Amino acid sequence: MKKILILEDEAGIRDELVILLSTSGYEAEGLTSFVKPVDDILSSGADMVLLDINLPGQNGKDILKEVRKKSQVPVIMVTSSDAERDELISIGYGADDYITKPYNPTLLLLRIGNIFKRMGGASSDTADYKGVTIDFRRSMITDSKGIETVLSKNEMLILSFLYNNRGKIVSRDDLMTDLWNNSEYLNDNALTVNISRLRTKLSDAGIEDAIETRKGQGYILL
Amino acid sequence: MNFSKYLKDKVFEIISGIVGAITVLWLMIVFESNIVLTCLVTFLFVLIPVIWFVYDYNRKAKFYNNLANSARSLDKAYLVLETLEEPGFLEGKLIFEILYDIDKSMAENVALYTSRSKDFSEYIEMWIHEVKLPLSAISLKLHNLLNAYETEEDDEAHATERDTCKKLLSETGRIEEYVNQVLYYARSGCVEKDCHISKVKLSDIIHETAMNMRDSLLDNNVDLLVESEVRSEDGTTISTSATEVNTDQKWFVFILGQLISNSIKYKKDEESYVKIYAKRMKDASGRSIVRLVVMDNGIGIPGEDIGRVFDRSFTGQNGKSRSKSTGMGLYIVKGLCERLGHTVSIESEQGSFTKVNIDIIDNDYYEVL
Repeated sequence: MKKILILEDEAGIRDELVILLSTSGYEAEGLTSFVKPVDDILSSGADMVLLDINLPGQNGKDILKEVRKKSQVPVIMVTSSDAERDELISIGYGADDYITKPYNPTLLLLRIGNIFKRMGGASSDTADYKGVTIDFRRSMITDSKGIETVLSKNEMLILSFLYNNRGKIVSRDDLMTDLWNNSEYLNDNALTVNISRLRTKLSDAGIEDAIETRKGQGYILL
Repeated sequence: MNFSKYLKDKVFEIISGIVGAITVLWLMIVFESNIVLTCLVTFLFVLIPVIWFVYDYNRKAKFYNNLANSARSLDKAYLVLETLEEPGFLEGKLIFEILYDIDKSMAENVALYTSRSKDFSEYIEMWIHEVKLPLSAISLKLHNLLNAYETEEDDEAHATERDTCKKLLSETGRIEEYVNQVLYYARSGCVEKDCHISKVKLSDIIHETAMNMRDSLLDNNVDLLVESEVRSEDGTTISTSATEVNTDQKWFVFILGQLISNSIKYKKDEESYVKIYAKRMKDASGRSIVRLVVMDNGIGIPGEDIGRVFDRSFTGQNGKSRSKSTGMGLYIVKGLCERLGHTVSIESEQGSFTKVNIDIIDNDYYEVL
């Protein structure tokens, strides 16, 4: 599990961030003392750091500068104003991303996911799923007999999201976020329609009931 | 000031001069003065006042006409004294000095209000950043709570709590929206505030806006239709990701958000959509522009109201029938557009659509600076 270290002095926000990240499949730890933040970051063994710019004592910019001397751990800087964000971007402190408060939970998770995905390198173009080959790049599936079925862009996005989260429940909201993030601005009905089309195509390819509906929670690719 | 008006003003002096002259002439005739002397005196009686009037008219006209013309032609009339020389005659000198004193006192007064309004807008910005902290905490807390309820095995449990969380989240979202509106209102009025014009991809602006407005659009069943091609007048198309405009991204995202939020507020009951598209064209003065259009199929704006929708606090008929209107949204949008050097216009037909156009001039980076 990826570990994320949170440097945020507002206890109310910090505690909620820990819960948010923990329930989203990360190991989250909030720093409560800001006496020697640089050492704490370096010794934490975190895979990512969420760093607020306005901290008591040492300021987030200086912390990042010192951390960068010794480590390339991904850092998301949290700023409380757009002006701060602009300043940071123009100077280039070496942060991997910037987020402006108030935290939008969905966007925050999306940014974190994007950075980990980038670090993980390019995912392979094809995958085998229960005897069916999924070709992400050409957006098609090939069944065991070699029959190819083309998926629409939306169907492909849904399938790859489900595939990447295999065995986990994926909420409609998560799927929606992923689609919107790929500039497919679907509404609720369209999502339902796309999922049922995807189900039909998968069952035509020989995988029955691949996508299960969990009432009130979302979908799961078994 | 012209000569005939000047003479009219001097009518008392002229009449008394004429009466004086006639009296002297009459006396000279009565006392049978030398005819040559009488003629000479008459001549001088006419000549000297004429010379004097012409001289006096010229120096006064020069000063007053300069003053009047400058005051009318300058867009900041109070700077008029800087354009004038101090006149040589007494009345002019007095006016010059008095105007100088008035200017000075006004400048002091303006400085006072400028600094007060600057202090106020700085305070507002700070306050907004402070208020965002508890807001963040609240919305994170609600999000986590909702998440906890939703991942429970028994999906009937806590149905009311889930509902409450959703409602509270959407209300918190509204508070955030209003808080943001104040922030941009403070910014639109403050000249030196942080507006960073740079080349921005149209697709980035639209995408960021879409992500911000997603929950609001989905909750209200309003579809978002985005055209990914920008059409030129000659029929060629180019994608929005290859179209760059000179603007400030976060300001523009706020502007688009306001427009979409209006479309949501004034939607019809069913099958509502907001459509965002762009085209390249020439504006009225022949400059090439990128026009970004936000169009909805909502209730539209009555003809008698449409001319005033950008006015401050104007709510119109739609606003009166829906209590959520503050009349500030479009006013702020217009202010921000002006600061960015864009032109905003609106078209609508009551009962069928509203269309807001934002015209961004191409390649005119220096004009907005």
